[in-house]
Parts: sequence; structure tokens; C-alpha cells
Amino acid sequence: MSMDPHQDFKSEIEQLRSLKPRTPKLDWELIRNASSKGLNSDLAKAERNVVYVHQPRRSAWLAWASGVLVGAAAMFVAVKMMPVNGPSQRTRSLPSVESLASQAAETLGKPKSSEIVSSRGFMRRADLRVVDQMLSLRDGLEVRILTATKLAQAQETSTSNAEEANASSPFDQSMNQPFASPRVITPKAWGAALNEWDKPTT
Amino acid sequence: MSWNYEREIRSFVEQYGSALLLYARQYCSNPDDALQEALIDLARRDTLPDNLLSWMYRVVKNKAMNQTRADKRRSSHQAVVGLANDGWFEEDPAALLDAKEVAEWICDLSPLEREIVTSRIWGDLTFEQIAELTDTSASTAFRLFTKSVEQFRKRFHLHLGDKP
Repeated sequence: MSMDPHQDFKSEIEQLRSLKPRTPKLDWELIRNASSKGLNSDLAKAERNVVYVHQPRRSAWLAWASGVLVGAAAMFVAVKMMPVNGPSQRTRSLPSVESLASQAAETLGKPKSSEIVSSRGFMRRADLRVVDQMLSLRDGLEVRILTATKLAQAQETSTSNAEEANASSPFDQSMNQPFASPRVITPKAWGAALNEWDKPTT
Repeated sequence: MSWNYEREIRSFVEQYGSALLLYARQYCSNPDDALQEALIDLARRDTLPDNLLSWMYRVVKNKAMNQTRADKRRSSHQAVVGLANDGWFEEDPAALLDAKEVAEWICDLSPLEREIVTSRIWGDLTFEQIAELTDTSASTAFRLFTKSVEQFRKRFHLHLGDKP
């Protein structure tokens, strides 16, 4: 049998083809209307483009995306503008108030920080006390350092003055002997020291 | 729809409308509606498909099957498809074969054979196109077509008193 069934079954196929299938009953007006509403007319194309531009799904998507962007920008700005409530970088490196308070309390024989935290009023008083102590310590330290610096300069000056005084006045030397203090500041040296004191430090 | 476009569609329907109607008839009870819907889809297109005949067969099949699915919800399958063997072909006293008997023979074929025979004999589709339409191979379509025509030969030659 060949691959062409028309040759093998020619007569049968011709017999069958002699029968004409029933012709369709079509409504051509419907087809024409469908085409005028469809894609073939320019007006329909323009309408379709307009509908496409104003498609609700697309506009909803754009609105959602723009909303997300605006919201993110607003949150970013708000976070940037928000005052920082937490401890700053500087204070974070320092010992906390609680630790200072507990140390002070231990020194003073007071309850520990965990006990202090339970009482806010006591906590505040302890804080103030510790701050006062710290400030006074700092001030005192600064004063001592400054005094030591000035006094070192003044001592140098007084030593030289004393040598001069010893050389010029044997009486003063004899007067100094009973006290056995080689470093006696003379009024002149004291004046020089005060002048040094008044000079601005760098 | 431009005049040229409408003329092409009308010309196509004059040439293949009957075959498409016969093809749709095996799937649904209202093949005219299926063909009408397919032509509406065709009219909505910007241009005609490359292979209009294959495209129309595919669309008519889909429309007819959709119609059957919808009808099945309302009534029994027998009433929907029914394959009523009257009205398949035009009454022609000069025809060599009895239209009703041919319709009965078509109804006795399996659905795939029926699809292949109608699309090949009246639709004039190639076996490659039929294979694409029926989701089979061209060789399978050819084999089933040959088998169906052999059955036809036996049946009608026996009926006419001739030897097969």
C-alpha cells in the first residue's frame, strides 16, 4: 500500500466526496459587528489603546508602587529626623550611671545597683552624688596638675633666687639654718611665682 | 472588517464551511454555533492566520468541545452529542451513496477515526495537519484513515452486493 490513500481508495474517496455536507447557517451581521468591535477598525484600535492605558489593574499597580516608594522615603526622612534617645557614642564609652552608682554605694555602704534601681528616688540622689564626686575629683585633679606645673616653674625660679640670696645675704642663710629647709621661698621668689601663675597656660 | 477581509472570509466559508460544519458536528449538537463563534474570532483578528484552514479546524474543535461541556451540565451526553445521523449531508438524489448510511458509518467509527476521516475527505487537510490537530503522528493518522476507508469499502461494497 502506498502512502497515498487517494490512489488506493480513489473510488471510495470520490464516492464519499460526492456527498456534500450541509451548508452552515451563519449570521454574517454578527460576524461583521464583531469585527467592527474588534481589532480591525482604527477606532476600535484607538479605543483599545485608551482602555489599555487606563486599565485599572495597571493603575492600581502604579499607585501601589508609588505608595511604597513615598512611604519608604517618608520613613527614611523620619528616621533621620528623629532625635536619638539612646546613649551617644561618647557616653557609651564611659562607665554607666548604674555602675558608678553601685560603686559609690559600695563605697558608702549603700545597697547595690540592683537594689538602687528599684528605687528611682534613691537612684537620682545617688547619681547626683556620684556626679558631684566625679566633678569635684576632676576639678581637684586639674587644680593639682596645674598647681604642680606652676609650682615646678616657681621652684626653679626660687632655687635660683635662693642661691642669689645665699650669695648676697649671709644673714638670710643663717636665718634659714634653724628650720633646716633648703627651699625657702623669698618674697621676691613668691612674687615671681605669682607672676608666673598669672600667665596664661598653653 | 474591510471588504477584502470579509470577502476572503466569505470565500473561505463557501469553500470549507460545510466541511467545518461536518467536523464540528461530531463534537457538539449545534455545529453552526461553533462555526459562527470561530468565524467571529477570525473576524476579530488583525490579519488572517498563516494557515487559515488548520487554524479554523482547531478553533472550531475548541468551540464545539466548549459548547458540549456547557451542554453537559444541562443534559445528558446522549442528548448533547447524539450524533444524529440525519442532516449531516445535503440531500442529493444523484449522489452515489445514501447520505444517511454514510452518516451511520461515520458514527460507528471511533472518535479519532471519525475526526481523521472527516478532516481528510471533506476538509482536505494533509496528514501532517491532521496529526497536529488530533495530537497524533502523521503515520498514525494515515494508518487510521486507511483502516477506516477499508471498513467503508467492506461495508458499502457488501451492502451494494459487490465483492470487497
